[in-house]
Amino acid sequence: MSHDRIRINTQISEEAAEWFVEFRTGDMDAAGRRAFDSWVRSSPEHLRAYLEIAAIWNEGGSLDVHKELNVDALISLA
Amino acid sequence: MNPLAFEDNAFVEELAAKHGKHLRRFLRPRVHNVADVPDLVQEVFLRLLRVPNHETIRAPEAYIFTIARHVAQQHRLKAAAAPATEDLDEMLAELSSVTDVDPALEVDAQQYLQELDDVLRRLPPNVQATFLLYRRDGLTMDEIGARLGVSRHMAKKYLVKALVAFRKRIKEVQ
Repeated sequence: MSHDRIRINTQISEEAAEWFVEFRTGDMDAAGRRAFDSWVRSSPEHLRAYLEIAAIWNEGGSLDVHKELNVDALISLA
Repeated sequence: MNPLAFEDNAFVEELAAKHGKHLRRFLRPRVHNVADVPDLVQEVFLRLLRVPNHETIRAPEAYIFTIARHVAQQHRLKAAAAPATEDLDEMLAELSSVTDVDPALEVDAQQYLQELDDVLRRLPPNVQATFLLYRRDGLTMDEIGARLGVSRHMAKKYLVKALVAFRKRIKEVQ
């Protein structure tokens, strides 16, 4: 895979993740929704990235359910 | 701010994960050219993303196939009226390589989770903490911003970073 291709993929991932987070956090208004609609329609790669991020999110609900990772320790490192 | 907005997409995302394969199987005998199927699957999900009130839908499975039937019917009418152009053929060829995926099914489910877990543990501390607080612990972005001493905007950026890192790994192992 060329560097260009990696760069484009990363950019699409970022855009998809940004949209996803906007929806999740309830920060989407009507104008945002229209912008999302046009983004998701402008390339099949966009829809694919969005649905993949969504699948990751769903699976991510099973991550660290036993709370092995300590957030306070992480925050003190940050 | 519309609190239903995220539910809207969550609904479609769940359907895509659950029924992507069924939908392709459903559409295959309903089109002349199987190369059109990924295009139609895409159209079904795009339409679902546009439905304003998903909470009024009582039977999502029936609903998705009703839309699919409608999309297939419209597609047949369009195909009869205008023969496909070369551009469209090119686009469909591209689509067939793009939409024919069930991300969660391509990699073994256990391995998939293992990869995500591995990525999670390697994330920068603030990004890792944000993901855990939001996804695992159910805090709001405002609460996370306060815990981390950053703006809500920055906390959202951390969450985006986590998701991008997850997808990067999943792409690598697929």
